[in-house]
Amino acid sequence: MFHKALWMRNQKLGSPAVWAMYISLFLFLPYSFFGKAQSMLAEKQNPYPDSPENYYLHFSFIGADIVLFLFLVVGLAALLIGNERTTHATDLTFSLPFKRKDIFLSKWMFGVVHIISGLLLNLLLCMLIVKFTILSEVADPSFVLEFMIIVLPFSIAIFSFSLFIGTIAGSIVSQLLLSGIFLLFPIGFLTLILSFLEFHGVSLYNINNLERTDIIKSITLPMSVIDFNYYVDTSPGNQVNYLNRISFVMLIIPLIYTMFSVLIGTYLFGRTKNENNGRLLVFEKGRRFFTFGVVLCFALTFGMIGGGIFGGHQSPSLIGYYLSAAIGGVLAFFMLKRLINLRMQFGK
Amino acid sequence: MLKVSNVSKTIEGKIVLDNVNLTLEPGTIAGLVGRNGVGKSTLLRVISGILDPDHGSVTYNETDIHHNPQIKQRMTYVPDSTEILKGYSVKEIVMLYDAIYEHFDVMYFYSLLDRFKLPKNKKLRTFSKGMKALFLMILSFSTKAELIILDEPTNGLDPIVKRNILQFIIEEVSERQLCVLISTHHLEEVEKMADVLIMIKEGRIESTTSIEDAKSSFRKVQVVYKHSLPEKIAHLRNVNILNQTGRVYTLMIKGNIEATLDKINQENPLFIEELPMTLEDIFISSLGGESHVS
Repeated sequence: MFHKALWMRNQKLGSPAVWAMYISLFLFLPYSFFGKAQSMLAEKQNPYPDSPENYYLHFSFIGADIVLFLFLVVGLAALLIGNERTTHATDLTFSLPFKRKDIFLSKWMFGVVHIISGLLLNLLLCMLIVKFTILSEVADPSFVLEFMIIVLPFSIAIFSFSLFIGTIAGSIVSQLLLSGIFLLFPIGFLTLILSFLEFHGVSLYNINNLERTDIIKSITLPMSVIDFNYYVDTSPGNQVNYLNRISFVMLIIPLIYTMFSVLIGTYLFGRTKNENNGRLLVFEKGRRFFTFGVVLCFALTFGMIGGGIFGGHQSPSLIGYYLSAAIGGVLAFFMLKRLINLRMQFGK
Repeated sequence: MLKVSNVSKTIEGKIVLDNVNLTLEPGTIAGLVGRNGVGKSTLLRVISGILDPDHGSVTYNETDIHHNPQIKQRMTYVPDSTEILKGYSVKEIVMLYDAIYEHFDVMYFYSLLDRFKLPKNKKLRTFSKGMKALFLMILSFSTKAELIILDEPTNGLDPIVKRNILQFIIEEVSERQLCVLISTHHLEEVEKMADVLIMIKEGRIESTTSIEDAKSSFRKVQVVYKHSLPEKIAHLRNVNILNQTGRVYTLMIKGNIEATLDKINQENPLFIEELPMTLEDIFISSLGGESHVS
């Protein structure tokens, strides 16, 4: 599975995203933590004249702080597969004396190693900063460990899933688009279904706020990272120590995503149709199903938006819903008909 | 030995390769010629393992290159695009190829760079198109592969670079028993250097012959008749009209040459002359009428 040459090749292909990942993690984690510590220290040394006791009493961290890193993880996957397809670089890679399975797994391993090292390095620095700076007077560094336990498997799953999307997408643009869509698909599709049911008189919004449950957040991979929230306030009379994260049992979900993505991705990469590089999809077989899915989702989305416009908040319009859905479906169908045969390749 | 057996490939519903069979022995330079879009590049990409055949197999020394790509240690492919390594510096490429190919000869590679006066410390993107093509060729030969596949290696190059490249290929083949498969539109190049001519037409191998055999099985003549070309001659299946200017006809005879010349003479031409023949004449005659030449 490990070939020095493939590692070097991946290094060249993915280095812009890898560097950006390390830099973004450094800026949004240890650099930001250190900045917070420094400003807290500055406040302690120059307290507000009217309330000198309130200088360093609260600290917060949210997973959304590293949302740029999550984008870059998807970008790395797109550089490793989609960009090769777009720039004809597959002609070099596939003519080399390596098994396709090894080529795919080397890409996966390359990404995973950098994700793990980037996160571990920067989160350990964060823990040290929390432990050994003024932040330790407010926050407990264990929240960083808890964040690490969540962000590591979920980031690997996001990367693996995006890499898997690369085995079916024909270009960097389609890989980025499809990765984004399918990573948010569970919560997005659920919203569309709930909206559809509501327009038909069945309201499920009250059932335990379905969209915010751990399971939905975890299946929508980026959500569980973004929704991580730690807030501590030790102001006198205002003791708050709040940690919002998914249950650790949910870690099984990124594990399943990763296993599925690696197994199916390896299988599909071994059977890739390089003659379709540059197109929206590499395989011709799934095109009908894909078209059906896109048309359905567009119809539901247009229905949700249009139904609201036609009717009032309390009395949604079913005619408006179906009219908008039909427009959305037809638009999607014709748009896709053009897009699916469009070839996007450069550098010949 | 490279063996392509019953390879077929359909792309976007169009049969691009149709039951292609091909065998190439070591020590051969084979020129793959055919008109645009007949499947030359597709065939080379199938042989290189970039594309999978729908049917059939490609073996090198009886090892299937699609199932056992490690065999490609012994073969390299130079695509028609010179952009494949453009982000790399020469040093990085050497490190990469040294890691890929067990027999990559670094010293030989640098000696060739010196010989062809190519820079050693620059990025490939700073090279001109001709320099890139020459560089990729040098790189390919430095892997010490036994089979080298070149897709349109001299496209867009100036005559001096082109001559250098061709000379270099001939030298390499004569020094060690390697096999070079070249796809090209430049028939004069094939004529100068190739031992074997592979003509491909509509996804099928039209013929695989030595250049000499190809030439000896054709004859080009110019004839003038009192009136137009007699129907008896025009309807002969092995006679192709390459050109007509007034009553002057340039004919290409394919096979059965002496008997056909007799028939032409029996029709009492005012003038008949045998013309020197180029590979281009054979190409036009075999792979499509003059009006369709790409």
